Amino acid sequence: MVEKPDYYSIKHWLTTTNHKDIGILYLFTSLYFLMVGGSLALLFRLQLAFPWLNILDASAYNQAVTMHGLIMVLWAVSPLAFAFANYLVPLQIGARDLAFPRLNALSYWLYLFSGLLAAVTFFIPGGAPDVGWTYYAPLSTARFSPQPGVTLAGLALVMLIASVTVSTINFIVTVATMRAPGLGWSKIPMFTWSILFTVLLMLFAFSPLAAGVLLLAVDRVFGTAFYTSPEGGTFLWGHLFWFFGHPEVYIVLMPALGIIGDVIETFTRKPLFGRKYILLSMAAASFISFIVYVHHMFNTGMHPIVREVMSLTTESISVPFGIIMLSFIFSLYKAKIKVTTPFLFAIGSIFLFIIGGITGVFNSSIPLNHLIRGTYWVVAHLHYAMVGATLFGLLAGLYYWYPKMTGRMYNERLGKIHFAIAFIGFNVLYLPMFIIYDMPRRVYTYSVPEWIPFNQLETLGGYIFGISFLLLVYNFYKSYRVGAPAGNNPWGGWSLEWLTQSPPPPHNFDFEPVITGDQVTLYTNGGQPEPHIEHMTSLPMYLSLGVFVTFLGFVISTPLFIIGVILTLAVLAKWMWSDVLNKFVIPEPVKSERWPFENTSKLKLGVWILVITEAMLFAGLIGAYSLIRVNMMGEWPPGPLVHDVRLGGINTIVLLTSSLTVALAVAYSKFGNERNILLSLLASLGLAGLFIGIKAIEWSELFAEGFTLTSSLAASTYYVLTSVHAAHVLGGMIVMLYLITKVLKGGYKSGGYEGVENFGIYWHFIDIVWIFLFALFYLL
Amino acid sequence: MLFKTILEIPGEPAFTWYSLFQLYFSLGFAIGVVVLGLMFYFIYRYREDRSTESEDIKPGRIPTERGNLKVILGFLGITAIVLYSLTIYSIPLTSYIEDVPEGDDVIVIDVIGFQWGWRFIYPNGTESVGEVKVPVGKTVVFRVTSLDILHNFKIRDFRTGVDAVPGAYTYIWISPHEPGEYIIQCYELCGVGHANMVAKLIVG
Repeated sequence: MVEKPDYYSIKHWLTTTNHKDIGILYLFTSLYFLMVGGSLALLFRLQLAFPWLNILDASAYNQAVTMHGLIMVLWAVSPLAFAFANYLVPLQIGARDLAFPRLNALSYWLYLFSGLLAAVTFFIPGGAPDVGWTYYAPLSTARFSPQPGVTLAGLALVMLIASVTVSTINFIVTVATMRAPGLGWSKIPMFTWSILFTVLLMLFAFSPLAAGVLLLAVDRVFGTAFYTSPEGGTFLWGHLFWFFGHPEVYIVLMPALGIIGDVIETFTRKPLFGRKYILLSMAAASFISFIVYVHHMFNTGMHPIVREVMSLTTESISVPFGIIMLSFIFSLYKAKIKVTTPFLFAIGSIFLFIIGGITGVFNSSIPLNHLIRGTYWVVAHLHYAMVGATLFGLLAGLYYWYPKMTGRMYNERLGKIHFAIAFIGFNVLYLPMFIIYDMPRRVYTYSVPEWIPFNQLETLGGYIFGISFLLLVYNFYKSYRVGAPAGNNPWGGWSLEWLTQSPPPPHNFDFEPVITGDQVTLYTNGGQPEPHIEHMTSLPMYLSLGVFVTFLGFVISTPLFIIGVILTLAVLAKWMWSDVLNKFVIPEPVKSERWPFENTSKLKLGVWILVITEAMLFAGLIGAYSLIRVNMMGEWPPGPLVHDVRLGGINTIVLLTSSLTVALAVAYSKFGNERNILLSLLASLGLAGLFIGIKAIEWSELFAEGFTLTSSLAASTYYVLTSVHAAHVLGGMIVMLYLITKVLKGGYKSGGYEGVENFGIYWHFIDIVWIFLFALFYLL
Repeated sequence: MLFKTILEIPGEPAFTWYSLFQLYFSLGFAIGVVVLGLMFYFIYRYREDRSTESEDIKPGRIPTERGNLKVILGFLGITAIVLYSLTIYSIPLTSYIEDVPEGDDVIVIDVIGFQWGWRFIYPNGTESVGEVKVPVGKTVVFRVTSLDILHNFKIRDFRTGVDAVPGAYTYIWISPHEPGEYIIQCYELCGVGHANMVAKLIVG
């Protein structure tokens, strides 16, 4: 047996890598941000109830609205879903932890510090960003919003994207390779499925946003003109933001749908109606969500045929959601329904989602959009979808799994009262918005007298909704201390998390679950559970702190910036050193169900997924390049006129040769020929260094010719894209140094040279990207 | 307000807009009532104390598949038919609302949005800020652009609006029947002056 950790020690929470502890950390942090975002909303609802008052002036109002949106979408609702994902996905698939526990801790700490970085903007000169959570350019550029808060929140976003990317890799690899023996894809519970769809959406949506934010940051800090010139401008931001922004809606929603699926199954005591088709619909919706985003730009005068097509795709995304909702409702048919608090919240969520969905169809109509863009119709619709459907779904999950997480039952009557008050408050808050739907959103005051009573009603609803959460806090706090013991399976649920103790032990299952046919058995393995090692490390926390200090210093104080950089690099070095010494090794699960990844190690799969996110980042950047270049038409100078094709060609050959030497290193690693691995890696390192050196020569020549970062859009695009690529090359060089050290230290003695092989994948990818850049900038 | 009587509508394209909105609204309302009604009926009918069904969810037993493809295809068919017929129905309306009217009696007024106001340039070259006058019974085209950042030029009583994009032109038209004063307002957050970025449309 494993010793129980000391849950009252602060050190435990700062160093834990256990997925359940990380889940709890996510839970409390996201509830904290929910409270912050909610308080901001209550503040501006008060202002709107009495438009003649100046509780918030225009600037403060815009700050409150912007931060409310950013915090709620990015730091409250989606992470709340990830609290459950962290806690439950390994339990539901019968795994001991996530694939990369230490990276999971890193995800959490990056998330926490990115949220704090966003919140810090309230306290710096110029205040928080006030440009709307959509950060529309050119309003968000330095000319129109010079305050440092806009840059800082942008950097917070970059940090959050890093956190999300790490989570994405972690969850995909976990579900793909760590399922309990016999747990095929078709047997995975709905919630885990929904998380899988969520992270797949994240995989493709978040890194193009990183590209967009990066360009904005370069504009703001170095004075380029990506978003201030008409060739980029509003359209460039619109494309990069909404390519992320629309899938983000489903990223937020998807986990709630999964929870509803699990809750309905448990409390109707019947299998879900059309479970297979619900999953197919989720997959279809995930795909379609990437080709609807132009409906956010219907009013921008875009080509009519593009808009008609996007109008059709937008209508189309309602079809899979129609199927999902109708299947949920038909799951109640011929059931034996136990009306509990989680069930009520699930039903409430479906109710509100249907209203949100139907009112959303209005938005897909181009003629109707001429009025309702920018109105309270949109505000009401998006809150029905994102607060109604999503938050109610997540609350269903919170009540549903509370007994599992704490081992105690909450007070059922109080839970139902909470539901009733929250549901009424919610509708009093948002239904009137449909009545005064032509009111503009994001205004701190208005002069139409008929709007006042409705706004006051909305404010009343908002306070009822907000205050209802006190009941939840009281209920959970009280029950945690004196609630009746819940037992392993208070609801009679079928899925694996209900087969272990409440709360589960650190290693999740005393005996390994094995699935044969449709039956789960806990495999006793001679009566003793396998030993479980808890890894504790403070490195993820310090690394995130280092990034936090670096970003904060970058915007407000240079000494702080230097401290941050030193801290970050020191922690990175320490992290790599501890890996060189193999201090943190998690054995590959041997018996797990991992079709079709039987022969792919966790690490290799992780690297492949990393490559996809990187590819999406460059796709975003190259997309920006294409848009600008097409818009500039003749004004963009042909590549050979500006760039030295010969020198660029030599550099391309240098980089391709390094790919060859890396391939050699990989080949030698198969035979375990240590000397030759070292030699090939050293050669690659040298070639990569040469590549950077030649690039430096090219840049200095271009600078001398007056082709500087800000001299033209073509120049800005060239420098940003090639330096992002060069940064990847430098990153690769650091990894090579690490590999060389590890080989020298004998770190690969026990288990092949996996690191070398996986690095090869990454390095070839970087080279392929360069071939694209070479063609786009030098040849075309 | 949700609906207006025909007398309160000041002209096109608001008439067309309301007819389409009412179609969407009544269809949406009907579908919502039916679907939610069904949900509540099922909950009422199959509650634990009223239902005679068996409990098929057992701890540690993977549930079997339920439901059949025909019903699911039915769901698919119904949602698809409703949605696509709405789209197809509104294609002619879309071009009616979006196509810029041309002709000798069409008045084209240039609109330039800026932080924070609206400048209007009449066909004869005269300019005005914060106020635009148009005659009754004529079709007026607004050719909209922006001096600085993204705005949204909206004449809510006429149920139409369009983004004001820096460096590009967008178009909307109105055809007022009722003399009066109407509000033109920016509907895209554009900084501290956003809430007061209004202008007057005087018909008469």
